[in-house]
Amino acid sequence: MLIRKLFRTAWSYKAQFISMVIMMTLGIGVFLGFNMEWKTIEYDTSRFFNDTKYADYRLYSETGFTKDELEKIASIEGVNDATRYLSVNLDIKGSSKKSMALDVSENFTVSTFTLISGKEYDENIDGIWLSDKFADANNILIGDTLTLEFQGTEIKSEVVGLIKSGEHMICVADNNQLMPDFSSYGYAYISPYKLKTVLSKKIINNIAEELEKAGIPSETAKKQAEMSLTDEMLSKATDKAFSQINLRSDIKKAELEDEVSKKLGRTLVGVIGCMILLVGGLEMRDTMAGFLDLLDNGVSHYTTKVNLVENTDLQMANSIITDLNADWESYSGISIDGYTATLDIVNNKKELFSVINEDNKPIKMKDDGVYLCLRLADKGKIGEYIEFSPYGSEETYRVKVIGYNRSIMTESVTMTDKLAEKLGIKYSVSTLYTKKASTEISSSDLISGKQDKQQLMDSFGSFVQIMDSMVIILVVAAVILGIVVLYNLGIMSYVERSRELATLKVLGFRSKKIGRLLISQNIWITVIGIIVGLPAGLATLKWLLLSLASEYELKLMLGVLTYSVSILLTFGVSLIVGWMVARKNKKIDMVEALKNAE
Amino acid sequence: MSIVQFENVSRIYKSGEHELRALNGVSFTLDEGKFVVILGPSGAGKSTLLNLLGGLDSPSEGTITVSGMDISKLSDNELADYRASTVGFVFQFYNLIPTLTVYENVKLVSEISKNALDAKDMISKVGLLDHLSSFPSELSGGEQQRISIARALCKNPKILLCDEPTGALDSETGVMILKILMDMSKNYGKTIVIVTHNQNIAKMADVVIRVKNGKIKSIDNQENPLSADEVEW
Ligand SMILES: Nc1ncnc2c1ncn2[C@@H]1O[C@H](COP(=O)(O)OP(=O)(O)OP(=O)(O)O)[C@@H](O)[C@H]1O
Ligand SMILES: [Mg+2]
Repeated sequence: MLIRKLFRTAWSYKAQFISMVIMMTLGIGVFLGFNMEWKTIEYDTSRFFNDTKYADYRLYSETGFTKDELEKIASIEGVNDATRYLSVNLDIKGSSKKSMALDVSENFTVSTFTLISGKEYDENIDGIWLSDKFADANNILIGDTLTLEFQGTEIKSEVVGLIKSGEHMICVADNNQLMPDFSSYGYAYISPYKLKTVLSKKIINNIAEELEKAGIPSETAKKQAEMSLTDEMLSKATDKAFSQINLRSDIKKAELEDEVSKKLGRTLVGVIGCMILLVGGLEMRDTMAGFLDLLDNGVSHYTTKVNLVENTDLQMANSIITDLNADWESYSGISIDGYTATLDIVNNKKELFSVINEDNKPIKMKDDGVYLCLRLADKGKIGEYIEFSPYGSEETYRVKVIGYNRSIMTESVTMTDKLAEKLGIKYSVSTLYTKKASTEISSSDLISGKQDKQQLMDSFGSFVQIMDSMVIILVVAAVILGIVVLYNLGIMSYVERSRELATLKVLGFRSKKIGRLLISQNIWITVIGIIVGLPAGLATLKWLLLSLASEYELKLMLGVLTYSVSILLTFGVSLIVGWMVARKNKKIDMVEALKNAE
Repeated sequence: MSIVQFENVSRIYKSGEHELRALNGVSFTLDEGKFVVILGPSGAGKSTLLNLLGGLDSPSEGTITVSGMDISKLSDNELADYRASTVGFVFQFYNLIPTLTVYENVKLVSEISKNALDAKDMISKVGLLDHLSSFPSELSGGEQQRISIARALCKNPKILLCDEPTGALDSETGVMILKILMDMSKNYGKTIVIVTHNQNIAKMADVVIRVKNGKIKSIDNQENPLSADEVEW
């Protein structure tokens, strides 16, 4: 009988009920690391991006940009500032595990940095401006000398300033690294002047090498090489080095692409818009952990990932591939009806990395069509044909869609190398995957960088740890909040119901029985709250994930632990509150409660 | 045979130094099956007396014996069991559970009373079989009071205690309620104790107890009480 009463009254506990739902949502949300700081972070970052003149667009060209081309682009109406830009990944000499991005902003009007300490930027000095966080993590001080290595050429310089840059707000070694790990990867700026000296040195070294091959003794070869360096050679090398033009502009991407190809009379590898990625601390913990696991066990079975320099075709790469017994992948920009995507050509016969389906299971790839990543699913149904055109090429290819895959980072069209061969697509090998450790891999001009999977995993791991302790704090806060809210609601409805409870007592119900009723009522409300709250919480999170991190094709992965902890938590809180209210019931004064008219 | 016995019963409310004797050394006995009316001005201590008898409250001094059992020193649980088995309460404001139907409100007591009567029978006795599945809010005040009487009777108590049962009702409805109560006393041998301000109701009583300032002023046995219909409102 009383149970019936309980269900009928459920509606009058809607406040409790709603708070239960909110608690569930919060509980799960908290567990996934959703926090309120987002707004302030967003505010601060946007100001920071503005201060460091974060580029709105980046134009890429494999052949680089000339000064003349820069001027043409700068003259496009709506382009406020533009600079030739260079950003390369370099190894730090003397430590195989550390690397960094080295940037040059030629006229320093776009993609600049703010100085934290040291010398102001000066385009004519031979110094290095280093990321303050990287300096911190590696105990590097102003005045120290850094030696970097780029394709065999040393770059030696004194650290003159510590900086922060919007361009490297999310400072990651490559697409597969989600979180910055400043102990192993950082960034630095040098002046165009310094770039010039480095390029000169590299040209001279190359010429000297050629001469030595021709049998000239190295001393003489070096001298001759120095003599033969011309301004023209240097300026050509500089043009080629600046493979990027970064610009600040409010005009739309399509419009810009149009204008650029009109002005330059050629298509570019790509025009990429502003990419604000996830900011640290906003990641969803479980999704991250699942992602980690996926990366570790699902996608990758390699030990080291080797990035090759641009334009390395299969023939050139072949000896390294055989040497490393490697699987490989090629990334390039394509346009599908004007929509920019990545063409991912895959050779993973050795299964050192996998292309995965929606359920995170490896796909056995076939050669008669392409796989679209889930975000491109609207471009074509399975069995339909799509057309795409590589950037920098007039060709259009028509291919059948034979499946969908989950792409972790890029919006991609994936095919096997066999199919690429059959279609006659020209491609270069971007990345090799090998079982060999990075120390076992001998250096080569073709290798632009190496990456240890373990190192990558470790950087995730430390991030997950931080998330964990943050989560604990938030959970404690959520529990306290839950108890306060539910208790107050319980007491409030208790006062409202004290007359009813007193009536039951007068009829002869023992306090204990009424207490049990109150607790079981709470339990039922909680059960319903959980049934409703769980999907509501999930939906909220999905929405958050979509709106905050649409660049990532992360599947919302919830561990059993998260479910059970948030359910137990909610249950526990509601039991405690039920018990507290039941205790109060014992002390109810029947005479008092029934004295007044309603 | 006496069913209720008050011996020098006092109920004292203390507030700091001040001491208020709501009941002050009250002694009397009541015989089984009587229709008893307690009269007295406001604040006299009528409700206090009824609450002590009903086991809602315990006396500060003295002993109360009901059916041979001393109820003045029972524990909370024992008192609850006493209320469940021996007494039924009817209030001026009916105190039905708003989320339960008429039938469920009455049936509810069978969860605690060992010798509960059939809920439908009780509802039929108060003439509301048509309203079994109505909710209290759908009933008139008189109908609600009848249900609350049915609920009290369903426990099959020896004593029915009514604190101003007609206080919130018009005269016609009040008469109907009194008729039911009278019937319970005459035909089922229940002891009925009614607290009221209304002098006229006293004319129906076998026994009239007058209370003033926490003391009993008089106890009168009436040889020829009027029937409910004869009472002038
Ligand atoms: N909880 C309490 N604390 C202090 N004094 C109380 C309390 N309850 C009742 N009293 C006092 O006890 C006396 C008797 O109260 P009681 O309720 O029994 O009066 P009553 O005869 O029922 O009056 P009425 O006809 O107005 O209902 C009153 O003077 C009242 O002020
Ligand atoms: Mg009273």
